[in-house]
Formats: sequence, C-alpha cells, structure tokens
Amino acid sequence: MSKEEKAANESGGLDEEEQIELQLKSQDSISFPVKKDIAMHSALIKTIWSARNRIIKTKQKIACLKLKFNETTGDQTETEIPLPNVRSAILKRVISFMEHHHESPMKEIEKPLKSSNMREVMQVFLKINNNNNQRKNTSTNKNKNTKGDQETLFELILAANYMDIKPLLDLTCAKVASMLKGKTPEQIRKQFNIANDFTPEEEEAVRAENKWAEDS
Amino acid sequence: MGNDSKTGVQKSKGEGNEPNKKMAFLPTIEKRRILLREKFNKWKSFIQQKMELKLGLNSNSINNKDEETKIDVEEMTSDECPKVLQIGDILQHVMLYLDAVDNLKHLSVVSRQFRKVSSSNLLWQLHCEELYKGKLYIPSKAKQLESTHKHKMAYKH
Repeated sequence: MSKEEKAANESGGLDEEEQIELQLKSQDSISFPVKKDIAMHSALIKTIWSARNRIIKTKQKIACLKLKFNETTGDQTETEIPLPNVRSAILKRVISFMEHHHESPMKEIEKPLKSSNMREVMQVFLKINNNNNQRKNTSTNKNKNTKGDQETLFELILAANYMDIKPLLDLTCAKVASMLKGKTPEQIRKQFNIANDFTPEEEEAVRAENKWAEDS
Repeated sequence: MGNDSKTGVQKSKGEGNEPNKKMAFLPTIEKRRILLREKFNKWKSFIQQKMELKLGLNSNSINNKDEETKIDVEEMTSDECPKVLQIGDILQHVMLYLDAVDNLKHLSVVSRQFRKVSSSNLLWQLHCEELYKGKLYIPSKAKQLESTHKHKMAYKH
C-alpha cells in the first residue's frame, strides 16, 4: 500500500470516528447523545473510550483468529458511557458547556481574581442558561434563586471534577472564589451555611497568627 | 470433602521425602497474599502521605494539630474518604483564585477545614511564585524557608 493510500485510509477512519455519537447516561438513566469529538473534552470519557476501543480491538483480533468475526461486530451498546455520579439536569449543562467551548476554547481565568464581579467571566454560563430558557433575567432572579444556584454550582463543580473537564472546573471554582472574595468570615459562614467549629480561643489564636497579613 | 482432606494429609505425608515441590507451591500462594497485603499497605501509606502534604497537615498549625491529623487519617480510611478528600481538593482549587491576604484574613478563620486548606504548602508555594514574579531580589531567609517547604513563612518574610 502506498503512502497516499495509507493517509487516505487513516483520514477516512478518523472522520468516521469523529461522526460517532456517544450516549452519555446520567445517574437517573437518561441518555444524552453527544458527538464523540465534543465528549472528548472530558478526560474521563476519553479514557473510558480509549480503554473500550482497546478491548474491542483485542476482542476482534481474537475473534479473527477464531474465525468468528461476525459475532463481535454490530454491537450498538458500546457507545453508551455511564456517568453514575452526575444528575441529568447537571449533565445537560455540562454538555452545553462542552458544545459551546468546542470551537472557541475558553481563555484561562486570571489568578488571583482582581474583582469579585464574575459577570464577564460567567457570560458564557449566562448564555447557556438563557438558551435553555431556565433563567431569562439573571439580575432580577439573582436574589430569589441563590440557594438553588449555589446547589447547581456545587453540583457542577463535582461533575466537572468527576468528568475531569478542566475549563469547567476552573470556571466554576473561580465563580465560588468570586463569591468568597472580600467577605468577612461571618458572611462566608452565613452564605455557604458553614458551622464555626473553632473554640473562641482557637479563633483568636488563628487571628493573632495571621495578624501580619492585616498589617501588610 | 473429608476424603479430600484425608488424601491431602496422606499426600503431604507421602511427599515428605520431596518437600521442595510442596514448599515451592504452598508458599507462593502465601507469598502472593503477603505481597498483595504489602502492596496495599504501601499504596495506602503513599496516599496518606500525599494527602498529608496536600492538605498541609505537616505545616505549622494550632494546638490540636496531632488530634486533627489522627482524625484525618481515620477519615481517609473510612468509606467516606473520597468525599472528604474531594472537598479539600476543590476548596484548594477555589482558594487559588484568591490572593494571599484574603486567604489569611478571612478564609482561615471560617472553619477548621478552611484553615487546613488555606495553610497548605501547595497553595502558599503558588502565592510565593506570584509574589516573586519578575522580582530580581528575593530575601535569603525566604529562599531558605522555601527550600524547606515552609512556603507560608517564606511569604511572610
């Protein structure tokens, strides 16, 4: 086989692979069809897919040796990828994030954040929400749905961490950081419902230990 | 079963003259078990060490340091271990987006877990890198402290 033929075969194979639609199965067993190259933004899916491919190839090799090739081909369930730690509502958002950033990759967020206003950074998110008709006007509904928003935000963080999608994890963590920035410990505890497990003496000791930061 | 055990005994008696065969076979299973146990223990201690480093448990902490570390090791070996570790990791990732003063002034006073994460070496290493970026002169004391992985103290100097 000539080099050109080989290259043509390879490119043809890649196109076929890219057109594959994976079925991402959520915790509540709802499947979402996603193009393979979009789903590959998740390192977890990438690993599962490559491992599965390796297994299929070895199976096919074994079957070829045994002359039972037809038995292994045509298995449609192979495109299903179970994600038992992600709810369907969250998975939907994760997919829309991956789709949005497939063609225009997300820019890296500045460290440390210079302001607590994440509107500019979160614009992508707001767009996604608007597309889904879940939240049309964020500024007016901001106060009403803060608890629900927080829950979804933390679930998104967990999902991004589990599915290993770095840009989404960065974005969601930066959002939480913006919520923490410039707030007093009491305000933070109140906002995130965190119990103060320090004794008054310990709290004072910690404050005294970090006093140099306040002076600088 | 009884017969098998009897035959087993008989065989072992019979093979008394050739102990090498028997010894070569039986210990391998035991050895495998021991090796697996050792591997598991090594892996466990390796992860514990890693997590201690990550959560900054070796850094200077408040009075109840020893008690806290004990609790953490217990938590890590329990069933809830991944959850506990995950939250610490995510919290650290969040704190990377905040500056050092914010970190110390507000976050370290929120709760014990926040304090533990906010005083972790990895976080302070990044704060130090940010602080020294583009600077020609770095104090020798800070350099020394950095080399001994006391990044928080190095930042202070």
